[in-house]
Amino acid sequence: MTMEVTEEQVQSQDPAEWVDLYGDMLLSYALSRMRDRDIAEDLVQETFLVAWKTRDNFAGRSLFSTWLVSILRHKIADHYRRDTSRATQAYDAWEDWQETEPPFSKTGKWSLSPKSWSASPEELLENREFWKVVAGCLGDMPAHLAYVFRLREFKSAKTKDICSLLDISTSNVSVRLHRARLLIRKCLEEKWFA
Amino acid sequence: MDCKKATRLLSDAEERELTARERFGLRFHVLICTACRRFQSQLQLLRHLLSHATPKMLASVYASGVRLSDSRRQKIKDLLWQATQEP
Ligand SMILES: [Zn+2]
Repeated sequence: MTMEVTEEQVQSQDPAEWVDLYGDMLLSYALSRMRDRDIAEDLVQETFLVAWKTRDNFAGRSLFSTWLVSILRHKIADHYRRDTSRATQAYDAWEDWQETEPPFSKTGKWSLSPKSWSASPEELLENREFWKVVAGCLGDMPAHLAYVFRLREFKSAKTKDICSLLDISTSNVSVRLHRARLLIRKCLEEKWFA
Repeated sequence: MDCKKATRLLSDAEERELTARERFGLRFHVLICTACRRFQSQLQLLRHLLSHATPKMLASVYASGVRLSDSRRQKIKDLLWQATQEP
């Protein structure tokens, strides 16, 4: 799975180019696994340094981006082994809504009922402004939710592939997708369908 | 079944086959609940839009993700440059 990089670039011998080509993709992967941005950036940095040192190990059997992600995965695993403090807990431990406003009351009813959207799908498909709003809504979403949503809805990734890529359970994937869908519909309702 | 559970099942239905019991409970809830019925059609619209949008449009949305900060980007490049100077 090539993830953020749609067309695999030829592996360059200039590592500065790697940073421009793969830096954002690696950071978004790291942020799908942890919420601390500084630590995520540190791990991406270490990943590039390891990649440079061990560049002869890249055999070309996999995509270069996949090889980089595999280094980052090891870095993240090491990180969780070293530091199990609460501040850097994995998302798997979160089954609550602490990072977003809960859309339901304690009794399980909608806090604010969804509205009826009057929309012509054909028109929306052509409307650049609408897709800008969609992009903005995805950008506002917590990174670990947006990442899974992108893989599922834009790349049509299968749940089991998302599970193995992120080392998370099926139920965690479906919880994240559910939250992401609730957030994006709320955002679109406020910013487009209002 | 409450709305929280019903919306979870509406979302799950796109990922897996619901059990007969879940389908039955969900169908009944959606029948009596306007809010969840709207949520359901919103999900359907989103799914439709995302599966019919042009690749170009989708790529523009997809690319608008997380960005490495400029300072970090530069720092990594500097460290890599140093590494390339080592024997
Ligand atoms: Zn309901």
